[in-house]
Amino acid sequence: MSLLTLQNLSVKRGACPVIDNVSLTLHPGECVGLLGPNGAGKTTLMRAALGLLSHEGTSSLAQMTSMERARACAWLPQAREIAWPVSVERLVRLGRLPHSGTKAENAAAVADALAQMGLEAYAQRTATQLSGGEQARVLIARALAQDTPMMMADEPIAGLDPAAQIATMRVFSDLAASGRTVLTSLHDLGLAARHCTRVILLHRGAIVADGAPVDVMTPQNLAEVFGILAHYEMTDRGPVFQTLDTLT
Amino acid sequence: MKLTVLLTTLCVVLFVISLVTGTTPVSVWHSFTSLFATDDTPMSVVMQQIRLPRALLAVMIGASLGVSGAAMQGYLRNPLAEPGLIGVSAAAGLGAVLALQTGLAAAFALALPLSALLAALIAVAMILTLAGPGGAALTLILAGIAISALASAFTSLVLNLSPNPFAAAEIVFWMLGSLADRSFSHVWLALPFMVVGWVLLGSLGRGLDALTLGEDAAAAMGVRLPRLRLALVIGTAACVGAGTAVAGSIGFVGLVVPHVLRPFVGGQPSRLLWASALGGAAMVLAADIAVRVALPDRDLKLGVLMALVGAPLFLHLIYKTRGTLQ
Repeated sequence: MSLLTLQNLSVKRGACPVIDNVSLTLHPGECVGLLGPNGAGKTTLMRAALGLLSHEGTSSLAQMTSMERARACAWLPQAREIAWPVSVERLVRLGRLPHSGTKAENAAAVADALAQMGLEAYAQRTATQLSGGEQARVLIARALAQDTPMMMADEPIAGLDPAAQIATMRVFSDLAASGRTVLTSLHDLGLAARHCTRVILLHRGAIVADGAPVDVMTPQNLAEVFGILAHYEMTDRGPVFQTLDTLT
Repeated sequence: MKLTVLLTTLCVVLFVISLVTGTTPVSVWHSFTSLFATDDTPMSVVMQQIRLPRALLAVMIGASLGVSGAAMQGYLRNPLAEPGLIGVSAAAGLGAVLALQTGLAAAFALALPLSALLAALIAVAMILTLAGPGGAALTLILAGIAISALASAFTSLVLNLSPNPFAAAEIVFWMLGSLADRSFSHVWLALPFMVVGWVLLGSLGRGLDALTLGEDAAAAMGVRLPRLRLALVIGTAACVGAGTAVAGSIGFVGLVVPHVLRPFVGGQPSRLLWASALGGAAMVLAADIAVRVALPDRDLKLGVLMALVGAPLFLHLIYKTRGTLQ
């Protein structure tokens, strides 16, 4: 049983296809990294998959009613918007909007989400007064509080400090390990190699490679898609990935 | 909760003060016995047919402006938004001005407010057509600004072509906004529209809360943005259109009240809706008392006083919060 199945998904801006005929299936237990250079169509692919963009082809999430989808998949947009000076606890509680749970259930989910992101001490702080990285973590906690079988995140770790980046990726891989599905776009190929069970390489709106990090992040693929040279090595402390140079 | 009680108490107290304030010097007790008397003495006529509808209209219009201001700020995620932004108040004003200019206003009692309401309705239809079927905020603002500008231009044209200074003065005075000499027919005309508006705007709480995180996140949390925007536009138009139709344009309430009350509700848009309704009612009641107390024999206009008080208050708030806004 998969939550997200895309079949021949295409998104056109004018006549130009931004996403070109993408088909894929995500399974429970997978932590999927969506990789690709700027403008490859990562955000567009995820928004179309959610049904937030008009598209051709089918997406299983887009076919649901908006409330079904809200209970099936949490979406963490790239733009980190917090419009009003609400408390962190109240902001995270917004993730409970799609649920009709009791007060106790909601409070438990909020406390759980705050704990996962290490934000217990911030609960009563005003969200808009936090630093950018802290706000990003609060917003991730909001998506976690939605407590959905699937989580889709658009560059969630951009701008976080190294510890917070690792902690966040670990939260995602733990979610996957507990039987959920995570799809996250990211530019940190090293963290993708270490924490994702599967990576999808997107280039000019089409999937170039899809599989285990070691099979996808090959020198040929990296050269073709990113135009970079990198070092990839399996060590006894897990995979190590380091970008080295650009190719001209 | 405490805030609701506080604001409700404030409204009740101001409502009572509004009832006993006026040019006829009588005791508070006499005012109240006259309010419920059925003896048709001059005092009971004054209480029942002049002061009661006046106080009721102040509550209705204040609540309408407050709730639509809070909803508009919540939807646009901008503390500078106000209900006039979608152009409905300018259009309603134009409708009223046309009724005055053509002499229609003198033809029958409710010609002026009906004409204003009709113009507001046309403006809503135009905004919804212009803004398109999507749920985005930007097209709505742009459409609102365009309609507002158009309505203001026509209003200026009517003033420009006005045949004599008296007609022009009548129009200008009407536009300043007032609750003087309104009757129960005004209450009954505005009430159905306002109730529809209150119900529509009151139902937006969840969606506005979700919009704190932006349109994309809100949509992914199950908020249907096109529907939310439709309810917002129709609700605001019903509230503001009806308010302008019976009282002229009264500014600042929809801007200042949500801004003042936001810190007391922890910034949450859904809680701000009802707090702003109560706060708006209190503010208009207070201002309408003030115009009668300040210059009892000069017919000081409500809209003028509101701006005179509201603008400095707003400046003070900006001065106080400029550190936290950065």
